Amino acid sequence: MTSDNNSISRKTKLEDKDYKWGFTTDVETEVVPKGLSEEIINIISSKKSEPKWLLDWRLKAYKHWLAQDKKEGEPEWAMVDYPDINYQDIHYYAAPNLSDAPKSLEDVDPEMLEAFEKLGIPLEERAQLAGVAVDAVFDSVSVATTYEKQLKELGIIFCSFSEAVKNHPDLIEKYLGSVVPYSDNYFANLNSAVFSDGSFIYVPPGVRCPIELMTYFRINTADTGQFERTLIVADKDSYVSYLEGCTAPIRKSSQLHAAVVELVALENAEIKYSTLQNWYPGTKEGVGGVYNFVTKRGKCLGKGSKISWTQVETGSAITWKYPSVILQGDDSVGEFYSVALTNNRQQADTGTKMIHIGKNTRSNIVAKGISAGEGNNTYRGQVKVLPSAENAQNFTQCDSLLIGDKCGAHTVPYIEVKNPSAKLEHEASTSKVSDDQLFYLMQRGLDEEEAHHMIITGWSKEVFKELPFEFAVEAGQLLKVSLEGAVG
Amino acid sequence: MSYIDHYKKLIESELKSNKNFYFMRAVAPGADYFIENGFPLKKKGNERWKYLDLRNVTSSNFIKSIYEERISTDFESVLEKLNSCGINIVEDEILIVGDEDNHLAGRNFIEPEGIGASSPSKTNIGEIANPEEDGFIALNAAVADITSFWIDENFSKKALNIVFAGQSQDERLVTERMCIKILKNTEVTINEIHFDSNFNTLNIPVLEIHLDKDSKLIHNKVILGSEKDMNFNFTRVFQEEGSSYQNNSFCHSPSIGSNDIKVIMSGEGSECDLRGIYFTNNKNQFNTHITVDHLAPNCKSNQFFKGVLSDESKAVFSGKIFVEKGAQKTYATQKDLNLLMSKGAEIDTKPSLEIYADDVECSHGATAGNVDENTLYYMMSRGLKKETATRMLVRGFVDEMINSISDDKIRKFASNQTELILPNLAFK
Repeated sequence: MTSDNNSISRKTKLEDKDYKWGFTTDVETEVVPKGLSEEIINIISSKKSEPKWLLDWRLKAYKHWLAQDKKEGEPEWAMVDYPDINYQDIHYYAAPNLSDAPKSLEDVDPEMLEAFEKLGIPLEERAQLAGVAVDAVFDSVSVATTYEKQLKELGIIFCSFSEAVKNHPDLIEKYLGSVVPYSDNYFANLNSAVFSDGSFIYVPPGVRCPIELMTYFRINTADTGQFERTLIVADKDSYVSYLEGCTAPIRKSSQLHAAVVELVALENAEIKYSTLQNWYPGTKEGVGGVYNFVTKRGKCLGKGSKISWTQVETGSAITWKYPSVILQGDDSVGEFYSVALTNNRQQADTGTKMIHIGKNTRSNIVAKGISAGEGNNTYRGQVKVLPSAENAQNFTQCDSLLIGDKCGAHTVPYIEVKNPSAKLEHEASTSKVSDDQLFYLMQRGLDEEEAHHMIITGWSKEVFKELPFEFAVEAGQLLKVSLEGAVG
Repeated sequence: MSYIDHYKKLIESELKSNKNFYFMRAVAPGADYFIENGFPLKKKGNERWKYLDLRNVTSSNFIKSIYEERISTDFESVLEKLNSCGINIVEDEILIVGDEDNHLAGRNFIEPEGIGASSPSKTNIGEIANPEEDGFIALNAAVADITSFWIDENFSKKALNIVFAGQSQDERLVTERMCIKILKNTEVTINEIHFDSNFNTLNIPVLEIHLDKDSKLIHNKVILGSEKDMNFNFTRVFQEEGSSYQNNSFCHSPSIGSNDIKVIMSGEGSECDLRGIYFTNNKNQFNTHITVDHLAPNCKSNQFFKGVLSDESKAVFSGKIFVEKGAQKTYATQKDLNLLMSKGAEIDTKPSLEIYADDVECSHGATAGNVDENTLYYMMSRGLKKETATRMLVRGFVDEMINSISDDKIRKFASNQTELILPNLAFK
């Protein structure tokens, strides 16, 4: 088999798999008028009966956002192209009709439950079987929460962000914006002004959360920008693992998604944050699809704390996402494991930032990028060692696979070291799936697609093994579905 | 008056003299670009210079040297200087930049065209270095002093030495432009040597090198900076089919400066190998910017750089491998290793890949750290002082680069220079 043959056969089979999870549910939604103004922010805030300090914070964020010129404000350095976003053409708030808020799972709108069913997440059963508590976010408001009681006994708070504002305002006021300030970047800034809902987790000192906490995000109302805000605080000596999985229904116009996730780990605490992102990537021709502009950042505030990000990114038309760790406490650890896949016209610019401030801080980065079709996949990462970070260590590995001759794979690491005791290593490689390996597997009776899938799964294993078990299986499936037809 | 106005006047007066007739294709765009954008001081979207503080570039209004000053660095004194550095060069192998007598003129192995020579087409002045790529290149293009020549198979010398002897006056702007064409099947070594004098000068040398089919060039570059001068050094190389380009850079940082190399691999089956070592000390800032564009299939490139940083200096390495659509069977590697020797020193390294073809093998690696503690401990347990042991390890680190310099004279010279540089580096 010559390589020419190979690329031709790949080219002809470059068909995308239809988006398996594209559907819309017909649920009555409460929508505020399109556009952004101080008035809209007032409406959002009052709908959620927020305290004054939070409204003031939102308005401060809005003023800061408004003061930036759109051209100057939007990050221009990422290797992604998208049509101009009209920020006045977006609904900044949409909530399922909650006039009769469900008190238990039985009260939840059956249509909504069906939606989760289609997604393969039967709320009642699988959650319990898998030992997963699900705080389901449907559009912007949490509708059902399970396992709350069990968690309560341990003193763990796991609720929607709005509930947390009501019931634990002190915690929110203390930590909101402490990792991602409202002025951080254009999209995080916008989120700070208009965020709708999200999840809040607090794990008290010495508690090890016995189950994986999980939220399913979905974007549902047409043309709704969804602006989640998630905050996780792990107190001294605690541990929590959080899972986030996403799918979205087919939409014709592009959807902006600008979420913010903040993690705070105090002394010896550990937070594990896993994401499976499979939002609507747009059509083969690049029409529609979600703009995933997300700011995720964790702060290892306490000595010996650890934050670990794991992500499998297969969806969205554009992914702009850099889950980062600020290693402030001495001996703290930051980790980032990622598999990002782009097929057809998808574009991903994703990576991480590790900011070493404390002594003996360590970080580890493993990023895998797969480009197929006409997709462009960029790893962009920064490792920064400040003068105070004695004996900091970092190891970075980023590998890219190219499938087909129309895609692109890019690697842009920034390594900035201001302390001579630091040890940093960076490695990266880019290639296609080796012909020798393919030949070997095909000789053993696998067809080309199976062989590709087997090699790619093995290649991604380093990241998958960081995922909780149920997720790892789903991730493998997702990769297979997303790549079906792209290889061959 | 802003600094741009100052240079605008300079550019206008140079344009009036109209001496760069064959260079006009680059002069006008360079002038326009510079007058509009100036030096690359902007923070936003300025990837190349983002880590450097370039404000000093605008602190003085640099002027071009007058004729009398330029020849003050006469041939004999430069030869002497080279001799004292351990480079013994015979007279007919040397070209001193800024020397109006042009000692190479009329020699049979090389035909300096100068301005208005009969066949300027042979060198395509201004074609390879795009003046709109960077403010420095633009300024060079607008007010350049041009030397243009080609080298063919008849070139019989071991090497051609091009010496930039520096200016012995403050506030001088030096904008040399050399356009060199290596003709088909020719194999040649060029040693480019910059002795920067300890004056507040702004040097922006630009070399354009065109490699014809199956030619081979070994290009050794030496930049010896001083505490006061600024040297922004650009090399642009265009490779045709089957050609080979080797670059070995030995850089001791000026107060602020750069070694900026871009290789455009446009012919199938060409190869390039770029290596270098950079030393930075005091508060110097030095940028090593390497770009390799793979535009044709079956090309092979290698980038391998090392840095030794001390005091409160700052070094930046940004290397890029670009693989164009259709440039299949590309093999490209990139490596940047750095030793940070003292607190206060800073390394910012950015080894990046941009790849649009699938049948490729590309890899890069970067490290930053101090000398290995275990090795140091081992050596100290054998009775060596910490400082001696450290110096030996650094020497070993540097020697890997020096030993790959193929030109004997330059290799010896680099080795001697390293001996002189190392004791001045503060290892704390």
